[in-house]
Amino acid sequence: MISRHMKIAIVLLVLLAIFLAAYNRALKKHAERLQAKVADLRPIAPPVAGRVQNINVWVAHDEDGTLRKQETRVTLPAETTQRARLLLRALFTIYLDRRSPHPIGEGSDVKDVYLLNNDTLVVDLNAPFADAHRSGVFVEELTMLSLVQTLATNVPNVHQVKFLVDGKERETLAGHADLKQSYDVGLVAQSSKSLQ
Amino acid sequence: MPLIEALIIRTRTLLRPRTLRSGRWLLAFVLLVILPLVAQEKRLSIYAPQTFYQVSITDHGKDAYVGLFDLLEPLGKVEARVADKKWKLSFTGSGQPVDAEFQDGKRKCKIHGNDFEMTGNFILQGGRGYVPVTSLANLLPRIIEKTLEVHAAQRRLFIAGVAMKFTLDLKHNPNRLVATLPSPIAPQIANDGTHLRLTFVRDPVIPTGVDVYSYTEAPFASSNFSEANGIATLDVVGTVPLQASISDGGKTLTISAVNQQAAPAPTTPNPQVPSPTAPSAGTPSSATATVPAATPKPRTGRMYYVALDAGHGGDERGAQLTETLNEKDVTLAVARRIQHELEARGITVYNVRPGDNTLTSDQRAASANGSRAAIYISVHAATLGTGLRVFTAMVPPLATPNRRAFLPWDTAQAAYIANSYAVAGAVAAECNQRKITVKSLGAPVRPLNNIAAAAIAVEIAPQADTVESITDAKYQQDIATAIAAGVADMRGKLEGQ
Repeated sequence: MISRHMKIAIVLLVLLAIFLAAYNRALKKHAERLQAKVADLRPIAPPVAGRVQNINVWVAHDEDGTLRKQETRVTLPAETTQRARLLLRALFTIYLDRRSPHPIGEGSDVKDVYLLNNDTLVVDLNAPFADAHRSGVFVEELTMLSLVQTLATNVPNVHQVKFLVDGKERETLAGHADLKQSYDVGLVAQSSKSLQ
Repeated sequence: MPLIEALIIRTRTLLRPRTLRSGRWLLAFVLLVILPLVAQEKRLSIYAPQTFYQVSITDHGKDAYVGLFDLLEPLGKVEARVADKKWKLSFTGSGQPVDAEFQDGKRKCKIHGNDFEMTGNFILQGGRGYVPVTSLANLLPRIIEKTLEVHAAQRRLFIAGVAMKFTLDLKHNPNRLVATLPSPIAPQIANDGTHLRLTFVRDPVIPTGVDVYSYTEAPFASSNFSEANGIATLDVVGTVPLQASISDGGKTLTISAVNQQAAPAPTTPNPQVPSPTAPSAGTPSSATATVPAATPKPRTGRMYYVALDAGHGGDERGAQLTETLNEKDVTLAVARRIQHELEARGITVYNVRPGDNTLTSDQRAASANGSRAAIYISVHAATLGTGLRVFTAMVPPLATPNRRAFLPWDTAQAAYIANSYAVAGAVAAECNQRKITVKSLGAPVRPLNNIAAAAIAVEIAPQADTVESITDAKYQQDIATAIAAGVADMRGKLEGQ
């Protein structure tokens, strides 16, 4: 026969166990939220001196395999290389968003942009962009065309775009898209037409 | 190694002053690309009634192993899955399905419910099953239910009695060596003065037992038939320069002294000697093809054959399509289906990647260019979208393409891009006809820009929403048929260009 005191003690212990379980769950969720914030490696752009402008970026959409113009508001300086870098960062912001139509790897960023002979842009991308990119001819092509088309649309007099990864030449983006050769803006525009 | 000797003979020929300019690119190709490949690659050649193919051999300890899936795939429908440490295989050839079960690290396996013991342990690596080459003679007939002849040390395997015994008979007036075979052959022929070498890559010829002969009658000194690393080689040494000719629809091989009157200086190279990677044609295009030691005959056009390149391979797995499915496996499976379909249409195929081996983009381009194929097809697979995508290179077309000039490596495709568009269009049209979703566009995909021939890349996406549908045999077959039909449609336009 279990005494009344014992019964009360057991009930209290069960209630305590339920409370601790709920508390533990709440703590875990809180920790996960904090972790997500820490893991958000999206680049924080430094303050830029320039005019806030409405520009068109070319966004890849995996769902139907198209490239579509999308208007976005960005502060853009007049200097060509800084302008190109911020344009690509604006595009990356769309791709890094949770509802991205064409997701790219976390932490993807543009390290630097150089201008050669006033008509060739050399874009230095960081390693997370290339290392975490999905592999496939078409998915890689969508990325490359959207980058080149965005630059061609917003940076005047650019005829060629060359890509580096972490300051070095790389054979392909993720096994398919050619990064050894420069991209001819005219040819990219031609290919992009069939994707619009 | 006989192949290396053949390459050295070819290299000597190229070093002669008259050929130095035209042969320099080929010499560099041989030294930089082929020799290292030959030195590294071990391959098992499989000769079946319907096809010829090669699979890579890997060493595990002292034993040579071969991937069983790669070996069986061209012979029928194969399905494999891993459960615990067991690898369960189902093979359907011409008869009833045969089930087999292998266990990692064990010699014993079950085939159709019966126990069988291999000569070495079964190895399961990355979802792929490997068996010892020395076990194949007894293991494979139980699965494919056909007779088998295995030359394990020579890495050659003959299915369903396709092997042809090769004998050379000495005939007189004039003296000549003649071999008559039941099926057509198309060896690669190379010579260096009085030394004539015939290399049989795709031909299932085997020696009769006595392989070395010495002759007392001119113009022959000796002949030696040998097999090694998946190929057979016949070396004939004469007292004067020799020539080889193939007649009777490819079934008769004749070796004789070169007609000295017709032949110019003996230092002239043989223009028809194929490059080291050139595939031998399945059937000779003419009734008699003579390949003398010194008959300069300028090449007027390309034979219509296709260089088929299954994307990725070896250490380079390509896209991870599912947890257990790599792009390199799908590309190889689809490439083999395309090969069957092309061969069924009488088009010879040169496999750039016949097995699970690692190749760089430059090696692929060099290999395809060296083969002088009329069309290059790079095969890829992806999970994004549905249907088939056909890509051409993103290079500007030349206003006046000059294909005889030296072509820059990075833009070699520019001289051929118009033909590439035509091939892509023909493939897309065949897909539309078969109601396969198809998209045709330019893409910056390697190594299309470096290919000196009509070149396309095809990317197969799933049929429906499920990624697994990409492995559906009927779906793959439909796509392979459409691609082959498109390529066959282009024959009239591209042959001989």
